[in-house]
Amino acid sequence: MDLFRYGHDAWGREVINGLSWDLLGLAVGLGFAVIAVHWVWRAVARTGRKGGH
Amino acid sequence: MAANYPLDDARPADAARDAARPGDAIERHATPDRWFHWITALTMLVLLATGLLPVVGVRFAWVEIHWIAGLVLVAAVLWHVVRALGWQQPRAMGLRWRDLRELTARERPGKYSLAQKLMHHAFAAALLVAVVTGSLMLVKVQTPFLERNPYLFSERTWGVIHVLHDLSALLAVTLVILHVYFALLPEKRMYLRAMTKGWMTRAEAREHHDPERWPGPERDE
Repeated sequence: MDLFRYGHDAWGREVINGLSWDLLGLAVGLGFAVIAVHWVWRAVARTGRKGGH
Repeated sequence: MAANYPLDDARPADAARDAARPGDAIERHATPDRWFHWITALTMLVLLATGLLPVVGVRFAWVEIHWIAGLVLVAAVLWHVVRALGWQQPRAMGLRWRDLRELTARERPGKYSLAQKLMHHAFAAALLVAVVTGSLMLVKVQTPFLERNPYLFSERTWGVIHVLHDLSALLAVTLVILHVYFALLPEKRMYLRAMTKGWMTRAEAREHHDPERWPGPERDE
């Protein structure tokens, strides 16, 4: 996976154009991964509360 | 006997409680601040859609919508800064060591919990970077009020500006997903109501916040 998007300037030199859009999937995945972790933590915490009154 | 709902904080009574404003309701978010929140939310969704849909192959004339929404966002951020410094208490959003005690549930927070503060600061960082870099990128676009000048900076500098702008967009994507998730959790619905209607009940405030640190002004409407 590339980190950056590259292009060329008027002299043909390679320049960075921005972040690689491959990282968009990573940003979305990170969001849903945190949600999954929180969902599990929340379920465990609730089970613990019910068990311990 | 209490009914055993799958999400046991989501009870039918919640809907009725949200609709009726009890006499002891306290104001959490004033009307101008709620407008800021929802205008910012709408603007960010427009900006993310116009900025990222072309990336995934949806072709349309996005540039004009994007920079106009960007200007609305700049105005909203400036408005929020003025509100925060002139009418609100910025210290309420400040991070403190004692906020960590919330993690062990030994202490209730003031007006904002540690998680709410972190979410605010992450959004603030993403928005500030997006606003500053986006404002600079405006000179690459033909607008009615600005002479287009893509040669204002070198290619290398434009590259850095674009990297920062893209980074803020990706951070915003993650934050929007998380923010919507936490806002929709049944046990957090009083915060969603507070952001739509402005108030929460005194009992909710007492349950989730330390009254010594956030008594909450009485709502006199």
